[in-house]
Amino acid sequence: MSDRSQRPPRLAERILEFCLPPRERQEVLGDMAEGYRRRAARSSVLGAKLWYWRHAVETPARLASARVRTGVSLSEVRYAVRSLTHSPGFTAVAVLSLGLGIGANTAIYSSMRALLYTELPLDRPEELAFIYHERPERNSIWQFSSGQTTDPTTGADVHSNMSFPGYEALREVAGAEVEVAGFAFIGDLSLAVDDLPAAAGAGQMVSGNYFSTLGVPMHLGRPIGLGDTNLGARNEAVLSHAFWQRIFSGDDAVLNRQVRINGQPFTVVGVTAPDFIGLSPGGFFAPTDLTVAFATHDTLAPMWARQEGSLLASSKMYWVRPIARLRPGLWTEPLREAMTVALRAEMLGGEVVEPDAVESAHVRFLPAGRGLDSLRAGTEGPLRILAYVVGFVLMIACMNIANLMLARGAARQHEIAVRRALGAGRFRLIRQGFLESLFIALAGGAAGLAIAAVGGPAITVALGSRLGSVGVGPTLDLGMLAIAGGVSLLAAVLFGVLPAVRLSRVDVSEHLAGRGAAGGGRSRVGRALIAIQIAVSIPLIVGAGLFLQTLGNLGQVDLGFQIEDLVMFRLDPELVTDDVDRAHEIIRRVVADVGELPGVQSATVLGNALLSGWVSNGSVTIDEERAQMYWNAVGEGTFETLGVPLRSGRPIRDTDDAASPPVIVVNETAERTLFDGRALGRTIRWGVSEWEVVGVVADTRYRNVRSDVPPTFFHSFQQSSRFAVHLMVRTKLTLGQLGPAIQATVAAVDSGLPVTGLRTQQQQVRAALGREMMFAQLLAGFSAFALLIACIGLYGVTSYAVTRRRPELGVRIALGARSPQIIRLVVGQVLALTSIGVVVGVFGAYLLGPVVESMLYGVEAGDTMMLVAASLVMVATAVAAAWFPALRAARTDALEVLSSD
Amino acid sequence: MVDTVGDFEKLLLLAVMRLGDEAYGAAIIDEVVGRTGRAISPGAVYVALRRLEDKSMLRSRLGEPTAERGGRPKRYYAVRDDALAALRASRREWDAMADGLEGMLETDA
Repeated sequence: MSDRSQRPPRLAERILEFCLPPRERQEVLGDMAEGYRRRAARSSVLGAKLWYWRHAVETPARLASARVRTGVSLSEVRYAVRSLTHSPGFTAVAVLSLGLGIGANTAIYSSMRALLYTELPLDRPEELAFIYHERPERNSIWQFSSGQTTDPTTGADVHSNMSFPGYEALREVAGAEVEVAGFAFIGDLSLAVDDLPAAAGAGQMVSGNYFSTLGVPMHLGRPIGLGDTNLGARNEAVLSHAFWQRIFSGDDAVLNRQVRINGQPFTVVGVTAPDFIGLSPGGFFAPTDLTVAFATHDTLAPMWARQEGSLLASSKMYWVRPIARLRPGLWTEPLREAMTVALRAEMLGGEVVEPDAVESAHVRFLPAGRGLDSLRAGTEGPLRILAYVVGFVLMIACMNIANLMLARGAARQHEIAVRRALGAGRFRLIRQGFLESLFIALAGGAAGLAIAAVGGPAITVALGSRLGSVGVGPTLDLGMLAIAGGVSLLAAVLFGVLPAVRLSRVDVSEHLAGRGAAGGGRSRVGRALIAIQIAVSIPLIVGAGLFLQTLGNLGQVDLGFQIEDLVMFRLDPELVTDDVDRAHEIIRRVVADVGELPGVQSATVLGNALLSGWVSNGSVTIDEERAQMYWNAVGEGTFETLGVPLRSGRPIRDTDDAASPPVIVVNETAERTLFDGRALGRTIRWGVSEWEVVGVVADTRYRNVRSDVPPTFFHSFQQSSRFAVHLMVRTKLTLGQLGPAIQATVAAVDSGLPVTGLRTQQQQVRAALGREMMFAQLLAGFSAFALLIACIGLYGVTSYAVTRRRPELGVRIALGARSPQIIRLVVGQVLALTSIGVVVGVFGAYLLGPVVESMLYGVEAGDTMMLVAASLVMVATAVAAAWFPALRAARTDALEVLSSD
Repeated sequence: MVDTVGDFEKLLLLAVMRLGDEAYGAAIIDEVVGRTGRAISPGAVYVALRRLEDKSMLRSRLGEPTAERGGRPKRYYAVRDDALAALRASRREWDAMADGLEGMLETDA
């Protein structure tokens, strides 16, 4: 037997040596070497090698697991818990910061998933595609919901709405291979059952093959029948599960019941499954309460049809949203090109675009599997920013935990050294550190779960409503919870065990004799962590400042009318009549009756609610020149009720009705920019009539708080074919006090007429500022949190540094250093550290600026003052954190320190 | 009150007693394997030896390093009184329960 074969495999021996606990290391290596030699001598070298390898791995594993199993005694658990409860401040900060980091991340990501990433509960949703199209900017297309979005791949504006003939043409091109269905959202439906008061709902009109193409899951009954030419069966309705629960209390006998939708009789033929709430699950369009067929378009959407003859024949009315099922493996490009050809032909035939512009029309397929909301640019951006913010928060929380653990470990150096000297094993000490970290991480995880469970649904609803959607309750994203929890656990355990590992290696006698320099490494890591923590905090503080400033600026904006004591609601007579005169009669009566209610000072009409995002605009002709103007419908006393001062002329009156000459009132901006400062008596051509300017009023904000006041005119609602209006009510009463009286008054005028959108003008303003408010609040909260834990971190590091440098400080004081000098010395070091973090942080904030730029108002993302202010806040925090340890350092008793060494 | 010992621990205690002054890891393993034919893994043996030490049934001392083991020392084990008491108790229980069953428990060996 050669000499080489006498020795066990070198690598296996190394591994074994590395893995074995020191106490057992030598003897086990010896035994294993002996065992190897015997085996090599008795049987074969190969067999012996295999044997050695196997046990080189197995033996340390067995020893380690035996330690964990039998080693963690109840007393150790008790010791860990006691040690944590003895420093409640440390424990609370650690658990809370972890909890907040984990909870905020889970809540935000759960919301993001609910709003952006959840697939619709349809059959193979990934195969579905919305058929959008690019089209020339100059066109004469009519439509009632824009359906515009941005194609994520090309960045071009694309539109969802098609004319019905266009939709038919696409279906023809698609042939039998590819199913194409169509749908259109219809809002403000009134649904009446028996003698109960009418309920308001929203829904969709669909093609007959909509249910089969999408694979909509049914809870009860059947989908709408196909009917003729895929228009779907007339007078059949499918209810959503939620609507069925709400109106029919989930009664199975609902099938074949008669309901009146906008006064028309329908038969309920089915109820969709609970999780299907339509193709806008994020709620930008109201959840689909009921679905009816295209065949009913003339009764349910008469206003659309009135504009341009038959809705089904019109090539100018764009209202159908096509959706296709593209089977896997289908080569979509030829189909898309064929559809583009069909679309161009349809546009030319309908004369909605100029022949030389039609080449810019293209069909585009956009993924439909996650619904319409995932395509909305306005939703994803802010959510992404929030995701970054909470990511930062988790990062800060983890670094803070790491720092706290390190500081705590360092502070316990002496304790650990003494315990080792008294015979505590190295593994026992490491286990102790592990246990404590584990408890903190688990408690933090539990706190995070609680925060996410409470905050998640609230955040989704808040996000949804503030981003312009109704919002849906999310399910808690357990994957994200696991990731956030796992990262935190790792940070806590790693940095909890690290000091114990390091200290347990230190020569005990050396440490106890000379207070060895075990902390040098920890200090470097700790300082780096603090600097990073500060750097990450700065963008948060800057963001909070920017959004607070934005909110402040927006709050200062002169809206031009009095938003206090103003209640409004929406009234849509179209739900009960298609006669304009009758509709105006209803509006006049409701205005008069509501005005008589006790506690109401005045009531009036306004077409589009102010600051609601809804506006009417288009082109008019002034002195043969085309101009872009905004308009709104008003009634008698509208300007008075809103508190808009009349500058000259007269307001609109009740006598300005269909029989009298058409008149308008313009705002000051219009007078200044379009009428050279003298508007009274001038005329504009709008539609088919000439309108005379009879008055000028002060400017008011229209679309929202941010947008500048546009040149606007106000016409009498009675001189238009407008049906739906808002009633504006000036009152000192609250919504709760006035609401029932309003409902009763409207019901007395017509029992089929629902009151919708009952709210105060202040609520409307708050909703309009929702996004800014949300960002300001969240960022302010998170940056306060970041500051607090940065403060704690700095305090920990400084405290530790002071403790470690006691001998040095003692010598300095003995040599004549005075308190201010010592304080300056200690604080100066903290400031140096802070400066590094601040510089990096400011640079980061500067780089991140463009992300939020578009959401700011009256302040720029790179605002120097804001960057300086954030830096100063951070520096002040750092000085405050370092002050007490510095004071303690200055009070060091030189004699005591020097004699103790 | 005498601590009880498991079957595997009994084997190890008996091996230590048989080996006397030469009871160290590799020898103990060889002794058990040689006498019982059981395939036992060193890891399990070390774990059990530690446990027996913790239960005050064994004591150990580290010997001098020897060249044939690559310069590694041996840890020698010796049984303590508690181990003898436990083994005796175990033997008594066995005898009491096996009394009268000798015919059925007889082995070929």
